[in-house]
Amino acid sequence: MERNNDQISSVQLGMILSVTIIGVGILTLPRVLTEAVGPDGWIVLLIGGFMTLVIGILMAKLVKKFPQKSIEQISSSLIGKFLGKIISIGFCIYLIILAAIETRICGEIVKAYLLLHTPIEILMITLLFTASYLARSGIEPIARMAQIIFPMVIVIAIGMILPVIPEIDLSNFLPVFKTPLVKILKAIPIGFFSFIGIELILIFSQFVIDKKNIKKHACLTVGMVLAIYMCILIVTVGRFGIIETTHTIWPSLEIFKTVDLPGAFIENIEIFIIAIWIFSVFMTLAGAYFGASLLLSGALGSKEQNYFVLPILPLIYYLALIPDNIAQAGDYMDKFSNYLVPVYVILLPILFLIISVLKKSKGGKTGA
Amino acid sequence: MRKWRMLCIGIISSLLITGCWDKVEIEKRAFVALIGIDKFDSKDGKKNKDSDKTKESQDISRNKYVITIAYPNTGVIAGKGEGESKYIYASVGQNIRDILGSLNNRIARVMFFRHTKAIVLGKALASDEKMLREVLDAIERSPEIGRKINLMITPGEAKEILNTSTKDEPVLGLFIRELMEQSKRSARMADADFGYILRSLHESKVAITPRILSSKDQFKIAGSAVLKNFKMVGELGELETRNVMFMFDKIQSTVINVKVDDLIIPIGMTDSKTKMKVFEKDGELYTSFDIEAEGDLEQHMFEVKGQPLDNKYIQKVEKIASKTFEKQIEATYKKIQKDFGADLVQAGEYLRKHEPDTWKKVEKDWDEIFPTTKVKVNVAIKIRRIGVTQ
Repeated sequence: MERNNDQISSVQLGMILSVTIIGVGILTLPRVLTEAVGPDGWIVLLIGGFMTLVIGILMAKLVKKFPQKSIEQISSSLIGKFLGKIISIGFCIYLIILAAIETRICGEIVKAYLLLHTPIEILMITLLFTASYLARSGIEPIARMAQIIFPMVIVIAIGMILPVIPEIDLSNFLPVFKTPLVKILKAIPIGFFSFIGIELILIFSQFVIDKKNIKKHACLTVGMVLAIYMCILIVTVGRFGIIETTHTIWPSLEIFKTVDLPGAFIENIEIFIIAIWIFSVFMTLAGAYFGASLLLSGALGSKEQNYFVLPILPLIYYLALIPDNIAQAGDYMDKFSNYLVPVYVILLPILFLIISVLKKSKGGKTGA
Repeated sequence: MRKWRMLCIGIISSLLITGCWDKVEIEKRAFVALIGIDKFDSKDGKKNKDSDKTKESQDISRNKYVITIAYPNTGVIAGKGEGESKYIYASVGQNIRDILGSLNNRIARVMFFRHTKAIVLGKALASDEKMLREVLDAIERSPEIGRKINLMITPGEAKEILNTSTKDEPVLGLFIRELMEQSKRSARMADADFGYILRSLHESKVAITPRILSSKDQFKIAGSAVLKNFKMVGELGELETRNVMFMFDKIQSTVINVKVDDLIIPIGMTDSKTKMKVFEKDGELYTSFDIEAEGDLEQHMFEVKGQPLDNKYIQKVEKIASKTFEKQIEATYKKIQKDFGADLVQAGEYLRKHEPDTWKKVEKDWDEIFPTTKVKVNVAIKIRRIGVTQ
């Protein structure tokens, strides 16, 4: 695995993470938060962001202890070879499901808003093939792609939000803190799960040259994504009010239907937004896809990762087509984020960190 | 060999990878600019012989709506083609999708709704709760139709509006949009787009929509229609609508007339700010409006010396103007309470946001409580300029 395109800097890692975390969740985020806690959604989001920050730091600590090791090697050295294999194959399945969700939702949105007569299968296949091309090329092209897409997404998104700002009514966030505390606590997972993608630190960190900066850039990433989410939440709820935010399926897209650029010269801005959003989904997909193929190759003891990219494709495609309709897709997504995500995003890094500390204090074998 | 391989790849990719299900040439698109939706009236079908819907119009159970669409002849507008500047088609059916489908049987183009500017509803339809809810949902659910369009209600039938041919702007939808922009200056109509109407209906089941009137070759957007519990319950006149707009803090400019001594002085408002508050005092709910407005004195009397350029006189006019205006707004508020019982000013929403404790008490029977709320209006009109003569 000593090819020359297997090295990225931690800045690049941060960018990959940013575009990976921003995926399909951002479209429904204002709705699910508002459904759960009404006007106090921002508090939940803030708490979720801080939790992600903590998890991100823990992950960075973990990978720092095992430089240049893949997650499969780390888990093997900590809990044995067999269990390690199971963990990494499970992780691989997790990422495949994540990729399938991204593919399906992206297809649904494109079909609903842009290409009304194109079959969703075609939309998904084109997206998947493009992503597989990137995933086959390895980590460095992915990092460069992230470097290109990241500023584009940020700049255009901010530019498109500007015309909405004068129409925001911040009183929609009142009354503050009137939601019962239990409700807020129950809603915290929603805030936290909107940051799915942070776990890719575990997989991608083996390529990073400057390990010591991972922590810093992971924090920066979470902070930035939190800021973007907050922006979207404030704009959407501020413009729509609580009831209408919960009424629309994708409020973050619908908000741009209320935008008229001055002079009405350009209408239908939501189409531009979908276009740049597809970039971001594409990067999420490519990241998860690459991670899955990498884990699979590791688990099967192969040295090359790119042979495993195309065989995974039909699997993702099939999984993406399982839900019958958009409502069922939502149900599956909830199940995914309620059962698999806690295991791989929260439990795994914490467990590994504890075991590695215990092993170290026993003396003798250090992880590295 | 290499050449052949490249050729093969080229041919295969051009055969397999290309293809677009959604391709529509631009001249094959019908950019529907204006949609009119009416309730179907069986008498109407017989009367109207010129359209071809007479045959099917007997079957009443299937026919609920009449939809009229108008789209511009893009060729004429670009100055190239000939013929009429707009096309108008109408059809009847059970629901909107149905009708659009049957319209597609007549139009050799693909109807395109992303540039729709306005939707006009007939009064008969707007007064029917079930139908209005169906229509609102169809429009809201559509990914194509934006929230910036103008939803309007006409006292007559929507198709009359569409059949009006205006003189100076061939595209009806654009004309209406421009008219809306212009009318904002006089503020005599409801400055409400579809986004606002949806939001307001979701929030409090009450909304106000602009009213559109037409004569042979003219439109007028003036006044407003009041929706309550998803149906139209009444209309507000031009001045009442202006007062409601003052309560909404949506005034850009307008003129108010003040009677001072024997003179009627028009004051052109240049700036206005309204603060609404709802509060509980001595067991009663009060809605208060604090309006601060600035304006110019625009007309006085020829050869009356020394009055307008006198601070005392200006203050007197200001005082009278404020008083008059307070009364007007109070009267409008009471009319809304009495005639419609509709919480147009979103007082309930204000309570929910700012006084959650009070809101909890009144939430359940807000419909009964709102008409009993008291109103307090404080207007402070400042006259800043008096023109160029004394």
